[in-house]
Amino acid sequence: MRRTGWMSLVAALGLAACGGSSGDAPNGSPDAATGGATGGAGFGGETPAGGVTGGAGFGGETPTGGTTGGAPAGGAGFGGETPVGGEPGPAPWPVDDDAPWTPMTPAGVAADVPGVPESGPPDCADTFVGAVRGWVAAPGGAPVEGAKAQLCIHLSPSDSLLCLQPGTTGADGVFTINVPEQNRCIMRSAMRVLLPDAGKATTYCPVPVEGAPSVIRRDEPFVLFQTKRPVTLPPEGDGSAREVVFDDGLVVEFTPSQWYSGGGVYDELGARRVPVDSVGLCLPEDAAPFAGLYAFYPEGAADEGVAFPVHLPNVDGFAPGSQVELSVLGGLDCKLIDGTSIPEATWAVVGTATVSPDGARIDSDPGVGLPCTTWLGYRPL
Amino acid sequence: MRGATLCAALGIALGLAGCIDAYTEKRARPQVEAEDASGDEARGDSDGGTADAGADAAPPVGPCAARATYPVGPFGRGEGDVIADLSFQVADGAPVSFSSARAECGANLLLVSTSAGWCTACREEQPLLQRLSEQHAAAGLVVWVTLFENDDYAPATLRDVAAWVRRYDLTFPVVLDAPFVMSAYYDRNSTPMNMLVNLETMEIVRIAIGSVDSNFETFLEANL
Repeated sequence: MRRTGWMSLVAALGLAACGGSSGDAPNGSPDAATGGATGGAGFGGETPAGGVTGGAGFGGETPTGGTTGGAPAGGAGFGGETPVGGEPGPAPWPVDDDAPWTPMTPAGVAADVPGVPESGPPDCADTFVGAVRGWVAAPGGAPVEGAKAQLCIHLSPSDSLLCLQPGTTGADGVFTINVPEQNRCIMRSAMRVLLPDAGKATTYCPVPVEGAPSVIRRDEPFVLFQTKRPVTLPPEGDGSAREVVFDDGLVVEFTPSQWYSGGGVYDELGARRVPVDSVGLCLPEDAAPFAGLYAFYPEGAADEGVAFPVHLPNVDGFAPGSQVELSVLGGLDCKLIDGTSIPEATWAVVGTATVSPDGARIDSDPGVGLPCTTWLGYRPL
Repeated sequence: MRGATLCAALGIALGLAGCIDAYTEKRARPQVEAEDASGDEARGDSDGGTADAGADAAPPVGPCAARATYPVGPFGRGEGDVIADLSFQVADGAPVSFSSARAECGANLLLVSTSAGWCTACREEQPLLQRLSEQHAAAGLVVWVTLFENDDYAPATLRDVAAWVRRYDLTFPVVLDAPFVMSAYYDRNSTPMNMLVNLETMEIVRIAIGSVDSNFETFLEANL
């Protein structure tokens, strides 16, 4: 597994254990599937009203019905076309190039940051940080302009948490976050990076400050992965769960009324599988590597005590009945089902999932699921 | 929120505590050479807070009549200054203002906390603010959260305010500050900011950057 940039400096990331708890995953329950698909990307074998037939893929076909939930017959896709009897779907997002690439750090990362002294006052018992600089790229290395890079810091010695206005990337993808002078004595910090309204998954990375210089530079990029719209997105409708199906076989039993996003809405949901050896990932270093990784958009969180069941394609060929451990990446207001907060940029185990008897998929165990739409990783037990 | 209604209700609930003549009891304080906050602040239009006087607030009645008139300037933006009568909107679009908070009989300390959807520190702080509100309401604490941006750094909307209230199950006012009027009172690069205002004098008694910590809470309790 590739680890990049200042991730190599991180001594440890907390992994909060969380076993399964009470509650039943609503797989197959009467109110669980208001949509779905038959064919390549479906789950559950049900034929939903307004659903689709066919496999996965994007565009070019004629949806058989529905509006935002419509998807093409015979192919996959959601968006860009005009469903029969419905409204035009949203425009398709571009698709990432997942070919291997080598980051070429822009010169701007090394440029001087004016006005930041090399050392802080003697009464700073932790680390003096005056600025953080880095760069943001898409898979393949193209710089991302207009991305927002935000830093939240725990002040020393109070441990009070503070979030700074984001730096915005220029044409070379480089950003600078200047830390206000009175808040430069820092215990720990984390970064949040996103491109608003673009369908790209928000990413989080810890910023190791211990022993760091007053200007922290990250040579490795923050990479923003383009998610894909679902094959099937049933109408938001009532408060019951519905299956949101993606072209790679990922299915999330999603209940819109139990999900909060302060920026996005249900109709904008997206996800994609991300190769675990991709450049720019911030992954836990103190645990076994993930076998698989998914990124979601827009960032949001389930209500407290709620987790959305997930079903993953068993592309790793795990034996039927075997288990995997599911982890999520902490972001805005992400909590375990017991109410424990998952700090930003920290991976936390949320529970287990079991390979189905036919070996086709990995189903989250009862009471286990996705507490927030950030990132999901899994590894065999 | 209507000042007269709240005044009457709180007056009953609190046994009219604090409903004394704010001006005869007003403690002496050094006159601060204050900057007029109403002059050059960002001003909102139809969907955000403004620095205009809270003309929409109903005048208080009965024992709160002493608070019918908002202190005159000079207004300022720092600790020790008298804050201008800023007005905002709550989730349903109704106007609220500092003068309406001041008209609440028995209310003697206003905690204004700035928040944004992207601000993890703000989100983590909401349950704490709710606890403070519940714990110290009887002693006269009034808590307001001002929401200025959403998760994606876009100006907040009334819809965002409503969702914020639901998300955190808040019982105190969350107000829209889309033009980020409150940024005039602190370094806007750092969020949240927690401000304490004496509701008798409308004097800013504390401006603290970062989430509420034990020192701030101790200071708050000492000023109730």
